Amino acid sequence: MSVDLREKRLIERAKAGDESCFESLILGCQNKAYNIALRYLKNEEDAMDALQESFIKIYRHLNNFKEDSRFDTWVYRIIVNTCNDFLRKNSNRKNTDSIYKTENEKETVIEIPDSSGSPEHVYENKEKTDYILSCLDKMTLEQKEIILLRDVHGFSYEEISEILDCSIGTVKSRINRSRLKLRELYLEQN
Amino acid sequence: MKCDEIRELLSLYIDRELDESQMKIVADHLAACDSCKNEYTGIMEMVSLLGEIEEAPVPDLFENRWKSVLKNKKKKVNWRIFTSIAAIFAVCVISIALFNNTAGNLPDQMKGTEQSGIASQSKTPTSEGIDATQKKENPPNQNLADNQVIIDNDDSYSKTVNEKNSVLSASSDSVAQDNKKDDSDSNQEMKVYGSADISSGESGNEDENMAAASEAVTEATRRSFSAMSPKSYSDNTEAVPSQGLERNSAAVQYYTNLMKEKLEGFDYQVIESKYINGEWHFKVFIFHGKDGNTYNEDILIVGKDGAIEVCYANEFMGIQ
Repeated sequence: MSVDLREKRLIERAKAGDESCFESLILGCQNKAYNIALRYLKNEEDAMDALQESFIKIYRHLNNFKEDSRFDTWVYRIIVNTCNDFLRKNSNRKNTDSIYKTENEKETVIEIPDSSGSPEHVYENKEKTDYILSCLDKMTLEQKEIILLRDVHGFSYEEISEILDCSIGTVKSRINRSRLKLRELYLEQN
Repeated sequence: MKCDEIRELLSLYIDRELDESQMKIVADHLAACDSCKNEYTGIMEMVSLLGEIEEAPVPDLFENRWKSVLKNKKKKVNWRIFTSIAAIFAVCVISIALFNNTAGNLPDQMKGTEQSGIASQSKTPTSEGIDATQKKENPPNQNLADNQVIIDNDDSYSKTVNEKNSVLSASSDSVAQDNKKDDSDSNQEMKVYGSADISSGESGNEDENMAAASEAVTEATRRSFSAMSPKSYSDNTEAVPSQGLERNSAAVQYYTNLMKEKLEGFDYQVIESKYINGEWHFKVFIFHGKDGNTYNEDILIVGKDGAIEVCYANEFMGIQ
């Protein structure tokens, strides 16, 4: 049975109320979904909260899913929207946190394991990655999300247009402008 | 192509989203232009660095967490539906209980002391209206003033108003009161006596005084019906005396409306209703016909399957 056909069967059963089929579908895209949320929210707990909320939304609105698009793309779209809502809701909280932040407190750093290459190479790459991620944080949400979706998570232009609900032309121009902006910030800080 | 235009295409070139001719143009330009080449190299480096960021593993606890939350949410949804159904059921039960309670109490209120309370609500056109307190205190068989009425729950309806007409005395000055209240009567029928001295000895004067007495009885009967009704009827609307009638007020109301249509132009009063073997039996007292003639007679109307039928009526009344 092909992947698409298997996914179709699972979706049909999940729509009929089969919980185990729904879990199988979600487990298929859970890792990527978690990482999208993690990159958006930069905090494990927030990422898990957003993901959990997204999965509940997906479960409740499963019958609205039209099978002319891919299930995982639909899931990522919901996650991106949930994360954006989360960021909007918590924008005030961030400011409040900064008031009470002590000098000794450090910002949350996401530990990303990297098992490739020599220790020096790993360290160098880690530094560069942290640096480029800090540059990303200086960009607008619109610019940042398209870089994350394209360059970090590797979605195609078509997938990004579905996830962000915009045309491929918009995706192309936004990717180009965002990369040029990131390059600009990268050079500025160097 | 200028450098600005090439820079606009660099991302698409990196992602191989340009057609072949554009890919060649950009490649040729990059080979010749160091500035654009540097830009391209810098973007490529960033893109490859971003692509090297490895995915963070999902925390172990997360899978169990969202599954349990999902189950709880599901339970919540079911619980919500369950509580909604339970609430609707409870409202229905309470409504029915309240309705039965209210309807069941009404006839009881008509018994005993409440009866005089109802009588006191009636609007008597003359100054000799019903004094409820006096009536309550009066012992049985005590003579009352003219036009006073008594409501009796005695079962035997054989003594109808018409029969009483035959024994009316011309004077109509006093009334023999029978104030027995028989609560054991399941049919809760009511008997109404007109304002007359019921004396068989004076039946000889019947012919002479019939006309005058008849008018007096008519007026007194009307008042008595007003008095026995739970509501105050100032005109000739229907009285609703029976317990069964109260409990099935919707059906009775329906048939009452049908009777209203049927007896349009008649001066009448519904004096009794009974539910017998799936049929509603209405005893209706006709005061005047459509033609203006005075009848003062009962007719029987039966309501069944949503229609009414006149079972017994004086043919001269013109009721089909």
